[in-house]
Amino acid sequence: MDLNEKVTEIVADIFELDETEVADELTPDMVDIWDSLSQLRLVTAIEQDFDIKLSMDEIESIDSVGRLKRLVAEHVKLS
Amino acid sequence: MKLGQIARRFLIPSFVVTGVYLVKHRCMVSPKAEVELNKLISLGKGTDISSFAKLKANDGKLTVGENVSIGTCCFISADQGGVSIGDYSMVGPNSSIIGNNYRYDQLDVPICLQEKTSKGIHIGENVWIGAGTVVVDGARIESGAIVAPNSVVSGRVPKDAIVQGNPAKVIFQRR
Repeated sequence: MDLNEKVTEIVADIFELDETEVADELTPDMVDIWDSLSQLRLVTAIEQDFDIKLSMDEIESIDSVGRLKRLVAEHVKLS
Repeated sequence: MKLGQIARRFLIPSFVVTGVYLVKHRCMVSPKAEVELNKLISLGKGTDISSFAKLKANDGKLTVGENVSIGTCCFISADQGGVSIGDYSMVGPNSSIIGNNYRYDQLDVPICLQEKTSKGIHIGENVWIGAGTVVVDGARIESGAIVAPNSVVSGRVPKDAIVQGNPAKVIFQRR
């Protein structure tokens, strides 16, 4: 499973979506239960799965699934 | 209820209680809050107790630190184990912090007549408890933690953790 597929799977799991609904353009406004707390749950799940740690600035900058994927890719590359 | 306790609870006008806490402890207790004048209750400087909050201490200490904010309609009850809330903590409206339990091991005795137990509750400094949260006896919330609204805390919340749910679980570690 590649990075994008893994992120998609986690996003779908946290926000109770079908994986086919998780596009890079998906934003918090488009998901009813994507609030500040569920975003933190998402980040924790991502960090545990990829063994990375995002900064608060990075966490606050997550405004779409695409942005999240780019952040994860950057951190995975670094580690 | 002892006679002195009845007198303190029902005969002392609330504005007197507000005045005593303001002068003696330099904290603001709303005249509409219910905080009895009791040696077991200690409120720190700059602490604010909002209207309709009720603070009681029966057989143990209720210690509230400095600059603590207790929201409207909160209920805080301390028993033998005591309840302590650290400096700069915030307790959101409609939250309950209940420092005792009833035993329920005798089926033929009404629960309210069975023995009370109290392990106590510790809430550290700079803790933010969201509205509607229930903190039950034995809970320990370490400094810097955040409890999401409507959570139920019964165990230990690690330092700087954000917890949510019933039972409250760590969803994020502050950094």
